[in-house]
Amino acid sequence: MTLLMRSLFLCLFLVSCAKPNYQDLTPQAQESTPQGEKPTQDEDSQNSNPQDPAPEKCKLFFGVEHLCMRYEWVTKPTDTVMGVMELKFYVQEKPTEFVDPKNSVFLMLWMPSMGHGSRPVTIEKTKTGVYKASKMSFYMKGEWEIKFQLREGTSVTDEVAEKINI
Amino acid sequence: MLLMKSLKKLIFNFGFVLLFGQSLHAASCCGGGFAVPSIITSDAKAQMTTTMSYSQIDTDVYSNGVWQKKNSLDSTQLYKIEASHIFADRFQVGASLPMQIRTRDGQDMGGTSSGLADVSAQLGYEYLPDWNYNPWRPKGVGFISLTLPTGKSVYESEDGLDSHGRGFFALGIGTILTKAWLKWDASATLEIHRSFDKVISNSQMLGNVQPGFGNSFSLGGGYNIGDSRLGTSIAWVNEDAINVDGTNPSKGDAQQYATGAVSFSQMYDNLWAATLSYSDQTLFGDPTNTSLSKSLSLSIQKRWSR
Repeated sequence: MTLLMRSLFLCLFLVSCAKPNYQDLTPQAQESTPQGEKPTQDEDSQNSNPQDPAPEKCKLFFGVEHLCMRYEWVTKPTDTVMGVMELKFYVQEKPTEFVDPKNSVFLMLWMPSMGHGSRPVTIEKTKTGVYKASKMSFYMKGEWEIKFQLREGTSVTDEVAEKINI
Repeated sequence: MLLMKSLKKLIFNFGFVLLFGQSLHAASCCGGGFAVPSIITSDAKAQMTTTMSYSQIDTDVYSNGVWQKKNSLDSTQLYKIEASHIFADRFQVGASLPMQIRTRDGQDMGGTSSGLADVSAQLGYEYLPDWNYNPWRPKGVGFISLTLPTGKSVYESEDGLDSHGRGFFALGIGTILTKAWLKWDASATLEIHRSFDKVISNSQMLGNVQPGFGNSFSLGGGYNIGDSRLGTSIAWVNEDAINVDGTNPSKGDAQQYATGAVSFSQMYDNLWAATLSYSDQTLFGDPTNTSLSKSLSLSIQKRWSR
Protein backbone atom coordinates (compact mmCIF):
# COMPACT_ATOMS: atom_id res chain seq x y z
CA MET A 1 0.00 0.00 0.00
CA THR A 2 2.78 2.42 0.98
CA LEU A 3 4.80 1.59 -2.12
CA LEU A 4 1.72 1.97 -4.29
CA MET A 5 0.92 5.37 -2.80
CA ARG A 6 4.48 6.56 -3.25
CA SER A 7 4.59 5.34 -6.84
CA LEU A 8 1.28 6.98 -7.69
CA PHE A 9 2.33 10.33 -6.26
CA LEU A 10 5.70 10.17 -8.00
CA CYS A 11 4.04 9.49 -11.35
CA LEU A 12 1.60 12.28 -10.72
CA PHE A 13 4.33 14.81 -9.96
CA LEU A 14 6.38 13.81 -13.01
CA VAL A 15 3.42 14.01 -15.37
CA SER A 16 2.16 17.28 -13.95
CA CYS A 17 5.41 19.23 -14.09
CA ALA A 18 5.18 22.60 -15.79
CA LYS A 19 7.18 23.42 -18.90
CA PRO A 20 8.23 27.04 -18.49
CA ASN A 21 8.29 29.00 -21.72
CA TYR A 22 10.27 32.08 -20.72
CA GLN A 23 10.79 34.67 -23.43
CA ASP A 24 12.10 38.21 -23.19
CA LEU A 25 9.26 40.29 -24.55
CA THR A 26 10.07 43.98 -24.76
CA PRO A 27 7.13 46.36 -25.14
CA GLN A 28 6.08 46.40 -28.79
CA ALA A 29 4.87 50.01 -28.68
CA GLN A 30 6.15 51.30 -31.98
CA GLU A 31 6.07 54.84 -33.26
CA SER A 32 3.55 54.96 -36.08
CA THR A 33 6.05 57.01 -38.13
CA PRO A 34 8.75 54.76 -39.59
CA GLN A 35 12.25 55.56 -38.39
CA GLY A 36 14.66 57.40 -40.69
CA GLU A 37 12.13 58.96 -43.08
CA LYS A 38 12.55 62.65 -43.86
CA PRO A 39 9.53 64.95 -43.79
CA THR A 40 7.98 66.35 -46.92
CA GLN A 41 8.44 70.11 -46.82
CA ASP A 42 5.34 72.19 -47.50
CA GLU A 43 6.16 75.88 -48.12
CA ASP A 44 2.61 76.96 -47.20
CA SER A 45 2.36 75.05 -43.90
CA GLN A 46 2.19 77.23 -40.83
CA ASN A 47 2.62 74.62 -38.15
CA SER A 48 4.75 71.92 -39.74
CA ASN A 49 7.85 70.63 -38.01
CA PRO A 50 10.72 70.08 -40.46
CA GLN A 51 11.83 67.11 -38.35
CA ASP A 52 8.51 65.21 -38.75
CA PRO A 53 8.96 62.38 -41.26
CA ALA A 54 6.21 61.96 -43.85
CA PRO A 55 4.61 58.50 -43.68
CA GLU A 56 4.23 56.62 -46.92
CA LYS A 57 0.62 55.90 -46.11
CA CYS A 58 -1.86 56.88 -43.47
CA LYS A 59 -1.57 54.13 -40.90
CA LEU A 60 -4.30 55.25 -38.54
CA PHE A 61 -7.25 56.72 -40.42
CA PHE A 62 -10.45 58.15 -39.01
CA GLY A 63 -12.96 57.50 -41.76
CA VAL A 64 -15.76 59.82 -40.64
CA GLU A 65 -13.59 62.93 -40.38
CA HIS A 66 -11.16 61.77 -43.10
CA LEU A 67 -8.21 62.41 -40.84
CA CYS A 68 -4.95 60.54 -40.41
CA MET A 69 -3.19 60.20 -37.11
CA ARG A 70 0.24 59.15 -36.01
CA TYR A 71 1.63 58.82 -32.53
CA GLU A 72 5.03 58.78 -30.84
CA TRP A 73 5.85 57.48 -27.39
CA VAL A 74 7.33 60.16 -25.14
CA THR A 75 7.56 57.60 -22.31
CA LYS A 76 7.12 53.96 -23.28
CA PRO A 77 4.87 52.15 -20.79
CA THR A 78 5.55 49.05 -18.74
CA ASP A 79 3.43 47.36 -16.08
CA THR A 80 4.91 49.77 -13.50
CA VAL A 81 5.51 52.93 -15.56
CA MET A 82 2.69 54.95 -17.09
CA GLY A 83 2.99 55.77 -20.76
CA VAL A 84 2.97 59.22 -22.35
CA MET A 85 2.42 59.71 -26.07
CA GLU A 86 2.05 62.53 -28.56
CA LEU A 87 -0.74 62.37 -31.14
CA LYS A 88 -0.69 64.28 -34.41
CA PHE A 89 -3.72 64.64 -36.67
CA TYR A 90 -3.41 65.57 -40.33
CA VAL A 91 -5.03 65.26 -43.73
CA GLN A 92 -3.42 62.51 -45.78
CA GLU A 93 -2.39 64.86 -48.58
CA LYS A 94 -0.64 67.22 -46.13
CA PRO A 95 1.15 65.04 -43.58
CA THR A 96 3.18 67.85 -42.02
CA GLU A 97 0.28 70.28 -41.55
CA PHE A 98 -1.60 69.33 -38.39
CA VAL A 99 -5.29 69.98 -37.93
CA ASP A 100 -7.69 69.62 -35.02
CA PRO A 101 -10.43 66.99 -35.31
CA LYS A 102 -13.98 68.37 -35.19
CA ASN A 103 -14.85 66.13 -32.24
CA SER A 104 -13.05 65.55 -28.93
CA VAL A 105 -10.04 63.27 -28.74
CA PHE A 106 -10.39 60.37 -26.32
CA LEU A 107 -8.16 57.38 -25.57
CA MET A 108 -9.32 54.16 -23.99
CA LEU A 109 -7.12 51.31 -22.81
CA TRP A 110 -8.58 47.82 -22.95
CA MET A 111 -7.25 44.35 -22.08
CA PRO A 112 -9.25 41.87 -24.24
CA SER A 113 -7.94 38.67 -22.62
CA MET A 114 -9.20 39.75 -19.19
CA GLY A 115 -12.18 41.88 -20.28
CA HIS A 116 -11.35 45.08 -18.40
CA GLY A 117 -9.99 48.55 -18.98
CA SER A 118 -7.83 50.94 -17.02
CA ARG A 119 -7.93 54.40 -15.53
CA PRO A 120 -9.04 57.31 -17.77
CA VAL A 121 -6.25 58.71 -19.95
CA THR A 122 -5.50 62.45 -19.65
CA ILE A 123 -5.66 64.27 -23.00
CA GLU A 124 -4.15 67.73 -23.38
CA LYS A 125 -3.90 69.83 -26.53
CA THR A 126 -0.37 71.24 -26.89
CA LYS A 127 -0.82 73.01 -30.25
CA THR A 128 -3.01 72.82 -33.32
CA GLY A 129 -3.51 69.21 -34.27
CA VAL A 130 -1.07 67.94 -31.61
CA TYR A 131 -2.24 66.29 -28.40
CA LYS A 132 -0.46 64.78 -25.43
CA ALA A 133 -1.89 61.64 -23.83
CA SER A 134 -0.58 60.90 -20.35
CA LYS A 135 -1.32 58.67 -17.35
CA MET A 136 -1.64 55.67 -19.65
CA SER A 137 -1.74 52.86 -17.12
CA PHE A 138 -1.14 49.31 -18.39
CA TYR A 139 -1.08 47.74 -14.93
CA MET A 140 -1.10 44.12 -16.01
CA LYS A 141 1.28 42.23 -18.29
CA GLY A 142 -0.25 40.93 -21.52
CA GLU A 143 -1.78 42.26 -24.71
CA TRP A 144 -3.70 45.55 -24.50
CA GLU A 145 -5.61 47.62 -27.05
CA ILE A 146 -5.25 51.38 -27.31
CA LYS A 147 -8.51 52.72 -28.72
CA PHE A 148 -8.12 56.17 -30.26
CA GLN A 149 -11.60 57.68 -30.34
CA LEU A 150 -13.24 60.87 -31.56
CA ARG A 151 -16.31 61.67 -29.50
CA GLU A 152 -19.22 64.06 -29.68
CA GLY A 153 -20.27 64.29 -26.08
CA THR A 154 -20.33 60.69 -24.86
CA SER A 155 -20.96 59.19 -28.30
CA VAL A 156 -18.05 57.70 -30.18
CA THR A 157 -18.11 59.00 -33.76
CA ASP A 158 -14.88 57.44 -34.97
CA GLU A 159 -12.38 54.91 -33.64
CA VAL A 160 -9.10 53.21 -34.56
CA ALA A 161 -7.21 50.75 -32.39
CA GLU A 162 -3.64 49.60 -31.89
CA LYS A 163 -2.43 46.52 -30.03
CA ILE A 164 0.44 46.70 -27.57
CA ASN A 165 2.21 43.98 -25.59
CA ILE A 166 3.22 44.90 -22.05
CA MET B 1 -8.79 0.72 20.26
CA LEU B 2 -5.29 2.04 19.72
CA LEU B 3 -5.84 1.78 15.97
CA MET B 4 -9.07 3.78 16.16
CA LYS B 5 -7.38 6.40 18.33
CA SER B 6 -4.54 6.71 15.84
CA LEU B 7 -6.98 6.95 12.98
CA LYS B 8 -8.99 9.67 14.71
CA LYS B 9 -5.82 11.69 15.27
CA LEU B 10 -4.82 11.09 11.67
CA ILE B 11 -8.18 12.23 10.39
CA PHE B 12 -8.03 15.32 12.59
CA ASN B 13 -4.65 16.39 11.28
CA PHE B 14 -5.44 15.47 7.74
CA GLY B 15 -8.82 17.18 7.69
CA PHE B 16 -7.28 20.40 8.93
CA VAL B 17 -4.56 20.49 6.32
CA LEU B 18 -6.94 19.52 3.55
CA LEU B 19 -9.12 22.54 4.24
CA PHE B 20 -6.17 24.84 4.47
CA GLY B 21 -4.64 23.71 1.23
CA GLN B 22 -7.78 24.47 -0.76
CA SER B 23 -7.71 28.15 0.01
CA LEU B 24 -4.43 28.83 -1.75
CA HIS B 25 -5.70 28.29 -5.25
CA ALA B 26 -6.31 31.93 -6.07
CA ALA B 27 -5.00 33.51 -9.21
CA SER B 28 -2.97 36.39 -7.88
CA CYS B 29 -3.46 38.86 -10.65
CA CYS B 30 -7.10 39.60 -10.53
CA GLY B 31 -8.48 39.71 -7.03
CA GLY B 32 -8.45 36.03 -6.25
CA GLY B 33 -10.26 32.98 -7.49
CA PHE B 34 -13.09 30.74 -6.41
CA ALA B 35 -12.05 29.21 -3.09
CA VAL B 36 -13.05 25.67 -2.17
CA PRO B 37 -15.04 26.07 1.04
CA SER B 38 -13.95 25.23 4.57
CA ILE B 39 -15.56 21.81 5.02
CA ILE B 40 -15.43 19.64 8.14
CA THR B 41 -14.11 16.26 7.06
CA SER B 42 -13.22 15.03 10.54
CA ASP B 43 -15.47 14.00 13.44
CA ALA B 44 -15.55 17.51 14.88
CA LYS B 45 -18.82 19.29 15.62
CA ALA B 46 -17.46 22.70 14.69
CA GLN B 47 -14.24 24.32 13.66
CA MET B 48 -12.78 27.76 13.21
CA THR B 49 -9.65 28.47 11.18
CA THR B 50 -7.57 31.63 11.05
CA THR B 51 -5.15 31.87 8.15
CA MET B 52 -2.41 34.37 7.46
CA SER B 53 -0.58 34.13 4.16
CA TYR B 54 1.93 36.06 2.12
CA SER B 55 2.24 35.53 -1.61
CA GLN B 56 4.32 37.19 -4.28
CA ILE B 57 3.83 37.11 -8.04
CA ASP B 58 6.82 35.39 -9.59
CA THR B 59 5.85 35.10 -13.25
CA ASP B 60 3.21 36.39 -15.65
CA VAL B 61 1.92 34.00 -18.31
CA TYR B 62 0.35 35.45 -21.44
CA SER B 63 -2.58 34.00 -23.35
CA ASN B 64 -0.19 32.45 -25.88
CA GLY B 65 1.59 30.52 -23.13
CA VAL B 66 4.71 32.71 -22.99
CA TRP B 67 6.17 33.13 -19.50
CA GLN B 68 7.73 36.39 -18.34
CA LYS B 69 9.48 36.80 -15.03
CA LYS B 70 8.07 39.57 -12.86
CA ASN B 71 10.79 42.14 -12.28
CA SER B 72 8.97 44.26 -9.69
CA LEU B 73 7.35 43.50 -6.37
CA ASP B 74 3.66 42.58 -6.43
CA SER B 75 2.61 40.87 -3.24
CA THR B 76 -0.56 39.99 -1.38
CA GLN B 77 -1.20 39.37 2.28
CA LEU B 78 -4.36 37.45 3.04
CA TYR B 79 -6.06 37.19 6.43
CA LYS B 80 -9.00 34.84 6.52
CA ILE B 81 -11.38 33.50 9.12
CA GLU B 82 -13.40 30.39 8.29
CA ALA B 83 -15.99 28.69 10.42
CA SER B 84 -18.12 25.59 9.97
CA HIS B 85 -20.69 23.83 12.12
CA ILE B 86 -22.40 20.46 11.90
CA PHE B 87 -26.17 20.19 12.23
CA ALA B 88 -28.59 17.28 11.85
CA ASP B 89 -25.65 14.89 12.22
CA ARG B 90 -24.49 14.87 8.58
CA PHE B 91 -25.22 18.42 7.37
CA GLN B 92 -22.93 21.38 7.90
CA VAL B 93 -22.89 25.09 7.21
CA GLY B 94 -19.95 27.39 7.01
CA ALA B 95 -18.67 30.78 5.95
CA SER B 96 -15.41 32.46 5.02
CA LEU B 97 -14.37 36.08 5.59
CA PRO B 98 -11.14 37.14 3.86
CA MET B 99 -9.24 40.42 4.04
CA GLN B 100 -6.52 41.27 1.58
CA ILE B 101 -3.61 43.70 1.55
CA ARG B 102 -1.98 44.19 -1.83
CA THR B 103 1.39 45.90 -2.32
CA ARG B 104 2.92 46.81 -5.63
CA ASP B 105 6.17 48.55 -6.54
CA GLY B 106 6.32 50.94 -9.42
CA GLN B 107 7.36 54.42 -10.42
CA ASP B 108 3.81 55.50 -11.18
CA MET B 109 1.55 52.64 -10.22
CA GLY B 110 3.00 51.46 -6.94
CA GLY B 111 1.25 51.55 -3.61
CA THR B 112 -0.64 49.53 -1.03
CA SER B 113 -4.32 48.79 -0.82
CA SER B 114 -6.32 46.81 1.70
CA GLY B 115 -9.90 45.68 1.64
CA LEU B 116 -12.45 42.96 2.00
CA ALA B 117 -12.18 40.15 -0.53
CA ASP B 118 -15.09 37.94 -1.64
CA VAL B 119 -17.11 36.42 1.20
CA SER B 120 -18.47 32.91 0.76
CA ALA B 121 -20.89 30.53 2.46
CA GLN B 122 -21.47 26.82 2.01
CA LEU B 123 -23.80 23.98 2.82
CA GLY B 124 -22.34 20.49 3.05
CA TYR B 125 -23.64 16.95 3.40
CA GLU B 126 -21.72 13.82 4.32
CA TYR B 127 -23.10 11.51 1.67
CA LEU B 128 -20.47 8.81 2.23
CA PRO B 129 -19.96 8.37 5.99
CA ASP B 130 -17.31 6.11 7.46
CA TRP B 131 -19.35 4.57 10.26
CA ASN B 132 -17.38 1.35 9.96
CA TYR B 133 -13.85 0.91 8.77
CA ASN B 134 -13.33 -0.08 5.16
CA PRO B 135 -9.83 -0.16 3.65
CA TRP B 136 -10.99 1.30 0.34
CA ARG B 137 -14.23 3.24 0.81
CA PRO B 138 -13.45 6.93 1.29
CA LYS B 139 -15.38 9.42 3.34
CA GLY B 140 -17.27 11.77 1.05
CA VAL B 141 -18.70 15.21 1.73
CA GLY B 142 -20.61 17.08 -0.94
CA PHE B 143 -21.10 20.82 -0.84
CA ILE B 144 -22.85 23.77 -2.44
CA SER B 145 -21.03 27.06 -2.17
CA LEU B 146 -22.08 30.64 -2.81
CA THR B 147 -19.55 33.42 -3.35
CA LEU B 148 -20.60 37.04 -2.94
CA PRO B 149 -18.79 39.86 -4.79
CA THR B 150 -18.02 41.85 -1.66
CA GLY B 151 -14.51 42.68 -2.82
CA LYS B 152 -13.86 45.43 -5.36
CA SER B 153 -13.15 43.88 -8.74
CA VAL B 154 -10.92 44.90 -11.67
CA TYR B 155 -14.06 46.26 -13.37
CA GLU B 156 -14.51 48.88 -10.64
CA SER B 157 -10.78 49.47 -10.18
CA GLU B 158 -8.77 52.01 -12.16
CA ASP B 159 -5.32 50.59 -11.54
CA GLY B 160 -5.95 47.03 -10.37
CA LEU B 161 -4.20 47.65 -7.05
CA ASP B 162 -7.43 48.03 -5.07
CA SER B 163 -9.02 45.00 -6.72
CA HIS B 164 -9.58 42.41 -4.00
CA GLY B 165 -12.36 40.27 -5.46
CA ARG B 166 -13.50 38.64 -8.69
CA GLY B 167 -16.59 40.82 -8.96
CA PHE B 168 -19.17 38.11 -9.67
CA PHE B 169 -21.78 36.13 -7.81
CA ALA B 170 -20.78 32.49 -8.15
CA LEU B 171 -22.49 29.23 -7.29
CA GLY B 172 -20.43 26.08 -6.95
CA ILE B 173 -20.98 22.41 -6.31
CA GLY B 174 -18.39 19.84 -5.43
CA THR B 175 -17.18 16.98 -3.32
CA ILE B 176 -14.26 16.12 -1.05
CA LEU B 177 -13.15 12.47 -0.68
CA THR B 178 -10.76 11.48 2.09
CA LYS B 179 -9.16 8.25 3.15
CA ALA B 180 -6.65 7.30 5.83
CA TRP B 181 -4.55 4.16 6.28
CA LEU B 182 -2.52 3.94 9.48
CA LYS B 183 0.02 6.73 9.04
CA TRP B 184 -0.87 7.65 5.47
CA ASP B 185 -3.75 9.68 4.15
CA ALA B 186 -5.05 10.78 0.75
CA SER B 187 -7.67 13.19 -0.53
CA ALA B 188 -9.33 14.35 -3.70
CA THR B 189 -11.48 17.41 -4.31
CA LEU B 190 -13.59 18.19 -7.34
CA GLU B 191 -15.72 21.26 -7.82
CA ILE B 192 -17.40 23.16 -10.61
CA HIS B 193 -18.82 26.66 -10.37
CA ARG B 194 -20.74 29.15 -12.45
CA SER B 195 -20.07 32.87 -12.20
CA PHE B 196 -22.93 35.10 -13.23
CA ASP B 197 -23.04 38.03 -15.63
CA LYS B 198 -22.47 41.51 -14.30
CA VAL B 199 -23.48 44.91 -15.70
CA ILE B 200 -20.64 47.43 -15.70
CA SER B 201 -21.12 51.17 -16.11
CA ASN B 202 -18.06 53.41 -15.83
CA SER B 203 -16.05 55.93 -17.83
CA GLN B 204 -14.52 53.10 -19.87
CA MET B 205 -17.56 51.07 -20.80
CA LEU B 206 -21.24 50.30 -20.47
CA GLY B 207 -22.01 46.65 -20.94
CA ASN B 208 -22.33 43.12 -19.68
CA VAL B 209 -19.37 41.11 -18.42
CA GLN B 210 -19.94 37.38 -19.01
CA PRO B 211 -17.62 35.11 -16.95
CA GLY B 212 -18.84 31.53 -17.58
CA PHE B 213 -17.89 28.30 -15.80
CA GLY B 214 -14.83 27.27 -13.83
CA ASN B 215 -13.63 24.12 -12.14
CA SER B 216 -10.88 22.74 -9.97
CA PHE B 217 -9.50 19.32 -9.13
CA SER B 218 -6.97 18.53 -6.47
CA LEU B 219 -5.11 15.50 -5.09
CA GLY B 220 -3.28 15.39 -1.82
CA GLY B 221 -1.56 13.05 0.55
CA GLY B 222 0.26 13.03 3.83
CA TYR B 223 2.26 11.09 6.37
CA ASN B 224 1.68 11.29 10.10
CA ILE B 225 4.38 11.09 12.75
CA GLY B 226 2.80 11.22 16.17
CA ASP B 227 1.00 14.56 16.46
CA SER B 228 2.69 15.94 13.35
CA ARG B 229 1.88 15.61 9.71
CA LEU B 230 3.81 16.19 6.51
CA GLY B 231 1.55 16.81 3.56
CA THR B 232 1.63 17.61 -0.13
CA SER B 233 -0.98 18.43 -2.76
CA ILE B 234 -1.54 19.57 -6.31
CA ALA B 235 -4.59 21.49 -7.48
CA TRP B 236 -5.53 22.35 -11.06
CA VAL B 237 -7.84 25.28 -11.76
CA ASN B 238 -9.61 26.30 -14.98
CA GLU B 239 -11.72 29.38 -15.63
CA ASP B 240 -13.71 30.10 -18.79
CA ALA B 241 -12.90 33.20 -20.81
CA ILE B 242 -14.53 36.43 -19.67
CA ASN B 243 -16.39 37.99 -22.60
CA VAL B 244 -17.72 41.52 -22.71
CA ASP B 245 -20.83 42.70 -24.50
CA GLY B 246 -21.75 46.38 -24.84
CA THR B 247 -20.02 49.59 -25.91
CA ASN B 248 -16.67 47.79 -25.85
CA PRO B 249 -17.25 44.16 -26.90
CA SER B 250 -14.38 41.71 -26.60
CA LYS B 251 -13.70 37.99 -26.43
CA GLY B 252 -11.51 37.01 -23.51
CA ASP B 253 -9.13 34.10 -23.01
CA ALA B 254 -9.48 31.15 -20.66
CA GLN B 255 -7.33 30.95 -17.55
CA GLN B 256 -5.67 27.89 -16.12
CA TYR B 257 -2.99 27.21 -13.55
CA ALA B 258 -1.90 24.59 -11.01
CA THR B 259 -0.77 24.99 -7.41
CA GLY B 260 1.64 22.61 -5.72
CA ALA B 261 1.96 22.75 -1.95
CA VAL B 262 3.88 21.17 0.92
CA SER B 263 2.89 21.56 4.53
CA PHE B 264 3.79 20.70 8.09
CA SER B 265 1.14 20.61 10.76
CA GLN B 266 1.26 20.07 14.50
CA MET B 267 -1.68 19.10 16.68
CA TYR B 268 -2.15 20.14 20.32
CA ASP B 269 -4.54 18.52 22.81
CA ASN B 270 -6.57 17.00 19.96
CA LEU B 271 -8.48 20.26 19.49
CA TRP B 272 -5.88 22.74 18.26
CA ALA B 273 -3.63 22.55 15.26
CA ALA B 274 -1.15 24.77 13.53
CA THR B 275 0.01 24.38 9.93
CA LEU B 276 2.83 25.99 8.03
CA SER B 277 2.57 25.65 4.27
CA TYR B 278 4.48 26.64 1.16
CA SER B 279 2.79 26.69 -2.24
CA ASP B 280 4.15 27.35 -5.71
CA GLN B 281 2.22 27.92 -8.92
CA THR B 282 5.28 27.82 -11.20
CA LEU B 283 6.01 24.11 -10.88
CA PHE B 284 3.01 22.27 -12.27
CA GLY B 285 0.41 22.37 -14.99
CA ASP B 286 0.18 24.29 -18.25
CA PRO B 287 -0.70 27.80 -17.13
CA THR B 288 -2.16 30.39 -19.45
CA ASN B 289 -3.44 33.96 -19.11
CA THR B 290 -2.59 34.25 -15.43
CA SER B 291 -0.01 35.33 -12.87
CA LEU B 292 1.90 32.66 -10.95
CA SER B 293 2.74 33.15 -7.28
CA LYS B 294 4.74 31.61 -4.48
CA SER B 295 3.15 31.71 -1.04
CA LEU B 296 3.85 31.03 2.60
CA SER B 297 0.99 30.51 5.04
CA LEU B 298 0.29 29.88 8.66
CA SER B 299 -3.03 28.58 9.91
CA ILE B 300 -4.37 28.02 13.39
CA GLN B 301 -7.44 25.89 13.86
CA LYS B 302 -9.66 25.24 16.85
CA ARG B 303 -12.12 22.36 16.87
CA TRP B 304 -14.99 21.36 19.06
CA SER B 305 -15.79 17.70 19.54
CA ARG B 306 -19.24 16.20 19.15
